[in-house]
Amino acid sequence: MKCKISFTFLFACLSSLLWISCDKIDEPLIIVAEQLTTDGFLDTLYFIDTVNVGEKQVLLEDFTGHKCVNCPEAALAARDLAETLNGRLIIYSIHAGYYAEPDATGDYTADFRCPTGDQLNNDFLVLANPLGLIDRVKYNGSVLIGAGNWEAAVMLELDKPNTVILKVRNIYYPNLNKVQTDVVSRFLSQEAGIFKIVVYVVEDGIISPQKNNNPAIGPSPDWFDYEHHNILRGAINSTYGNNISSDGTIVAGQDYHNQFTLDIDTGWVASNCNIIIYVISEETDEILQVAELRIRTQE
Amino acid sequence: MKKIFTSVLLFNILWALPPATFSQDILSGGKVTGNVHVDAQVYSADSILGISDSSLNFKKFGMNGFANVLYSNGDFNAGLRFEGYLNPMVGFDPRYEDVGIPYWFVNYKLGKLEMTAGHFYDQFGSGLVLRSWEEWTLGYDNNIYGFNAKFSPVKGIMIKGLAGVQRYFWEPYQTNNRGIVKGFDGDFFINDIFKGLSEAKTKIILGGSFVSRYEQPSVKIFTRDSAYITVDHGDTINWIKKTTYQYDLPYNVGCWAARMNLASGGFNFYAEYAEKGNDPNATNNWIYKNGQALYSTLSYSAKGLGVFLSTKWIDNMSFKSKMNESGNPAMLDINYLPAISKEHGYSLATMYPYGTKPNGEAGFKGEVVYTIPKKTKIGGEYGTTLSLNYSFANSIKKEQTLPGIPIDSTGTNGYRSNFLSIGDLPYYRDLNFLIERKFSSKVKTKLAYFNQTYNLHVIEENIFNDAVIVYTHIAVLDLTYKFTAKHSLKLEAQGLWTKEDDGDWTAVSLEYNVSPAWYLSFMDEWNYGNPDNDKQIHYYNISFGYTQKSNRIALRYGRQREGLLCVGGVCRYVPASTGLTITLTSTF
Repeated sequence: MKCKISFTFLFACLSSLLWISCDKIDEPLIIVAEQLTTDGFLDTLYFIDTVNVGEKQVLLEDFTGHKCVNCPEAALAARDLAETLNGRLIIYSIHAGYYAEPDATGDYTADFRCPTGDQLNNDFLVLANPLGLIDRVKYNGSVLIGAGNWEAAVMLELDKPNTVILKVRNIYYPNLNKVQTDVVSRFLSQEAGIFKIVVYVVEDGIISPQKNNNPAIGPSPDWFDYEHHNILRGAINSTYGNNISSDGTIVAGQDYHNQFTLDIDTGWVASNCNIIIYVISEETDEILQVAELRIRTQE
Repeated sequence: MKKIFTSVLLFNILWALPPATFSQDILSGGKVTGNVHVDAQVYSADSILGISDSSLNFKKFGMNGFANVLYSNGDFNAGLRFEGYLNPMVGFDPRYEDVGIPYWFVNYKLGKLEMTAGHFYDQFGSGLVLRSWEEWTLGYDNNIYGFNAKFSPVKGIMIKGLAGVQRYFWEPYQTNNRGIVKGFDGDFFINDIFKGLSEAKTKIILGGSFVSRYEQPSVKIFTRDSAYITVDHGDTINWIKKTTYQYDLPYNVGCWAARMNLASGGFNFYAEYAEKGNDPNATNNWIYKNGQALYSTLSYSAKGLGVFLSTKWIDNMSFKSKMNESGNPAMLDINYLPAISKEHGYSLATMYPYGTKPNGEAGFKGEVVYTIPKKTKIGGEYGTTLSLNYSFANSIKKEQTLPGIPIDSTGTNGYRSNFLSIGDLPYYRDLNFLIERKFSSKVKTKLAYFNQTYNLHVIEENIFNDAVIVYTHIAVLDLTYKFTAKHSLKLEAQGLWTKEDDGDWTAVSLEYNVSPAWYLSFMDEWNYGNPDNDKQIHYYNISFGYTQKSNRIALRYGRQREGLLCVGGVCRYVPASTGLTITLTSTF
C-alpha cells in the first residue's frame, strides 16, 4: 500500500515540477524599433538626397573587431574592390564578438557593438574574424565567407540578373535631428514567396585605434588613427526587417512604398551616417538588392 | 528516393535487432498481417461546376493509397505503413505529394514494461492534452516519431511516458521546423490500490497527464501605429509613430489535465479538466492567455434504454507542435478537443457539419435511445427503436482585458473569461429524431428528422458574428426490401429545406445488393432551390462494388459537391469535382 501511495505522490510531484518548468511570459512584446512618420510635415528646413539603383548591387557584411589583427587588410581590400566596381559593392562592418569587446582601460575602450550586430553575430554563428556575408548566399557551401574569397563571391553575385529596382530618398530635418527614408521597390520579374525590406543605419569616418599585423598597409601592431568605415549603428526596422507589402508577397512591376524615420543618436555625426536598405527573400534568406544613401545635412 | 531507402533500411535494422536483444527465436511462430487501400480518381472538366483543365492544374489523375504490414510474434510486434499520393486527390493538401514510409514501429512487452520505438499513436484521457491519431478520409495524420513506454509498477497504477516529434507531411524533423513533444500520463485504479474497495460496486479511476512542447521560436514582429502632434521651433508637426514590436515567444509550453471516472451499475461518469500555459500561436492570433477546458460525460444504460449526456467548455486550447501552423485542416495538433455533435450517415444531414472551435466554445449533447420491446402493441413484431439527439454549441463570454484594447488583440492576454461562461453567439444546433422499425422479415424502415442551425461564418470562415446563419429542416425515409436472403433493394429519399445559403435540396438513392459479392447504386442530389438558376445542379453518382474474399473493388462515376468533410470535429474543405473514382481494398 505504501508503495502505491508513494508512486501516486511521486507522480503528482513530478507533474507540478514540470508545470512550473514551462515558460511564463510576463512581457509578451519587446519594442525593437520606433519610426516617426510625418503626416503633413511643416518644418521647412530639410535636406534631401536620393539614389536610384537599377542594376544589381551586392552587400558585403563584414564581421570585424578593433582587436582583430587581420581585419584591416581584409577591410582595405574590400574597399579597393568596391572602388573598382564603381560602388556596386556596398560594405558595412559589424563589430561583434570577442575581438570587438572593449577594454576597461587603455587604447581599446571604444565600444562599436550594437544589439543588431550582436544578433547577427550570434545567429550566423560567427566564431572568427574577419568573415563576411555576401548577399547571404552560400559560397563553397557556407554563407560565412573568408576574406580570401570575397572578391570571387562578389563577382558571382554581380553576374546575377537584377530582380529589384530600388529608389531611395533621405530627408534630413536638422532642427529635429531626424531622418525620414522613403523607399520605392519594384520587382522586375514575378517571384514567389515573402519578401522583406531591412533598413540599417551605419556611421562612416570614425577614427579609433585598430590592431593590425600587416605593416605593409599601416602601423603595426596598433594603428591608432585608423579610419573605420560604415560601422553598423543599429536597425531602423528591426534586425530582420518587415514585409515589403502587407503580406510580404509581390507583383512584378508594382511599386511598393515603405517609409522609415530615425532619431539620430546624439553620439553620432549625422553627416557621416549612411542608410543601408536591402530586400531579402524570407524563404531563401538571400539578399536580392541593396542600396546605400548618405544623410545630407547641408546644401 | 533517399527517404524511402532510409526508412526501409531502418526498418530492416530494427527487424534484425530483436533476435539479438529480446529473444533467440523471434522469427519462428511469427504472424504477418496487413491491408491495402487505394483510392484513385480520374477527373474530367465540367463547365457546370466551373471545372476546367487549368482549374485542375492539369492534374487529371489523383491517387491516395496506403498499405499496412504488421508482424507479431508473442509480445513482439513490428509494422510499417507505406503511403503514396501520386498526385494527391483533389481537396487533399498538395504537400502530401510523394511516396514513402511515414510510419514504422517496433514494440515489445517485457514483464510490466511495454516499449515502442518508431512511430506511434497514443491518447491521454479524452485527448484534451494529447492525442495522436490518423484519419484517412481527412488526410490527417499526427503520429509521433520517438519513444513510448507503458509501465505498471504495481497493480492499480499504469504510467505512460513518451517523447517524439509529430509527422508533418513528408518533412523530416529539423530544429526550427516544429517542436518536440514530451508527456507522461498516469491512471490510478482506486479499487485496486485500496484493498478495502476491491469488492465495491462503484469503480473509481483517477488520472492525470502532463505534456510539454519545446519549440525554438523564430523571430516574429508586428507594427502598430499611434498618432500625435508636437510643436517644434514654432512648427506644428503631425506624427504617426510606428512602433515595431517583437514577440517574446515561449520555448516551452506545458499542458496538464486531471480526470476521474466513476462507474456504478448502469451509470458511468467521466470528467476531465485541462489547463495550458501561455501559448501564442497562429490559431489564437498570438495571444498569451492560458488555456482551459472541461469535458464531461454521463451515461446510463439498461436493457432497451440508453441515455448519454456530454458537455464541453473550451477556452484557447489549440495546442500544436508548431506555433504558426495553419492549413486545411491545420496539422500538428498535440491535443484533441472532442466533438460533441452527432455524426450523421445521411448525405443531406452532413451538408452542414460542425467543426470544433478551439479558441472558445461551450457545448452540450444529449441523446436518448429507447427500444420499444418486440412483440408488443406499439413495438410490433420486431421492436421499434427511437433515438432523440440534441447538440448545442455557442461561444464563450469574452471581455476586454483593458479599456481600449480590443478582444483578441495580438501580443496581449487577449481577453478575460469566466470559467464555464456561455456567450451569446450561436455556433451550432442539431435536434434530430430517428425511428427505426422492421415491419416484417422483408421490410425495414427508418424515418428521421433533423433541425439544424449552422453559423456559416463561424464554422467555415472563422468570422465570429451571426451575419449568416443557416436554418435547415431535413427529412429522411430509408427503406430496405429483401427479395430473398441474398437480394435486397435499399431506397433513401431525403429533403433539405432552408431559406439561406444554397436553398433547398433533395436526394434520392437506390442501391441493389446481392449479398455478399456485389452492389449497384444510383444517387442524385439536386439543389433545386438554389436562388441562382445556373446553380440548380444535379450531383449524380452511379457506383458499383464487387467483393471477393477480403478483396473489394468499387467504381463510382459522378459529381462531388463542395463542402466541409468533418470527422470528430476536425474538418477538411472538399472542392467540387467530376470524374471516375476507383477504390480498391484488400486485407491479408
